Amino acid sequence: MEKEQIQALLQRYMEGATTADEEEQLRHYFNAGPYDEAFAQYAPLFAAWDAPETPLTPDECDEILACCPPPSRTAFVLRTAWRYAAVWLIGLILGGCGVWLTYGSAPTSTKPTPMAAAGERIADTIYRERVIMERDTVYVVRYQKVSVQPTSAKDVAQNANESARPETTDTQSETSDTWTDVAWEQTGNVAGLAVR
Amino acid sequence: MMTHGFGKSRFESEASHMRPQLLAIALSLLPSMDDAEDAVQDTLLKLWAVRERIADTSHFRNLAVSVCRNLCLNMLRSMAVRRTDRLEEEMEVVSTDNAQHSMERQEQALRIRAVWNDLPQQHRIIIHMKEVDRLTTREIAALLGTTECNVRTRLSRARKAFIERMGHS
Repeated sequence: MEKEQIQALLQRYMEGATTADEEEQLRHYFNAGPYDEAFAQYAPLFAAWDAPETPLTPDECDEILACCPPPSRTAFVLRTAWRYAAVWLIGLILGGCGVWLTYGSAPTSTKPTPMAAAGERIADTIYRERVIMERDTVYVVRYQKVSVQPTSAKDVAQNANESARPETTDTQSETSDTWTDVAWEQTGNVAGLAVR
Repeated sequence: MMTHGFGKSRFESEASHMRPQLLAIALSLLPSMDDAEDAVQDTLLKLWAVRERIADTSHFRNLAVSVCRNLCLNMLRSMAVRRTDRLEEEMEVVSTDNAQHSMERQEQALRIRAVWNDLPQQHRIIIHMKEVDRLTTREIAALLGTTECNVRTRLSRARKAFIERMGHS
């Protein structure tokens, strides 16, 4: 290459402005045999680069890293263990909250007070059922006759809306039968109301 | 070429994340904005040089802060003693000039190595990034969070320092 061209390239090189191609040209010039004496001082820059793997010596690297030692293996393991534990704990707490919210405010198992009679059916003379709705839950309340009376249509009608009355000793009485509730069960919500 | 530690893109993102904090540290210790910028870039250069031994993100961040602080303190110290150092340097030059021998290739290589090892770390690292890692000026600028112009200036400074020291030795 022309001396002037090399001169120009070298000038740009020392300003840090050369492209990779231009640097390759300079490298080739200096390593492909004798070079102009005028450029001798620049030769080391292009000869030296089969040299170091790393720019800093191991001691220098150690010195830099000594500023802040890398975390030890146990510290790392502990840290990750704590992170997992924290995540699990939060998950459990949230899950517990969810469960409590869903089931905690469910209606307690006390006997419902009948607010409305959805229907009444006299199954036979022994017992009758009353389907009661409270909010959206259906309860079937069974009333059992304490005393058995021959029933007539009129009696049935009379007894239709009665609840428990004072007991009469006279089992043969023609007054209204005495009903006491013996069992009540929750059958589900309104949507699943089943007529039995 | 990367075995473990930080790759180029991870380094770049972590470095850009840390830059404001490092700049704040440098500004609190050093007199001028230019000095602070230099300090931050020197810090990132050093971290780049040891990137294969950096364990994880938190290690990177702690290391960055420590290196930056130490570097700024060293800069302050060297600023104070610069005048006396210069005098000593000049005296050294005079003494070696008297002992000129003809150079064989092997001696030349040894000399290059010696001068190289004596170069300031940031000069060595940036020359290495350009010549050995074959990073472009743009890539280096992105890694250090600075302009291409600034990278060219640093590269120029490093190369000139190398030539100058070769001439003196």
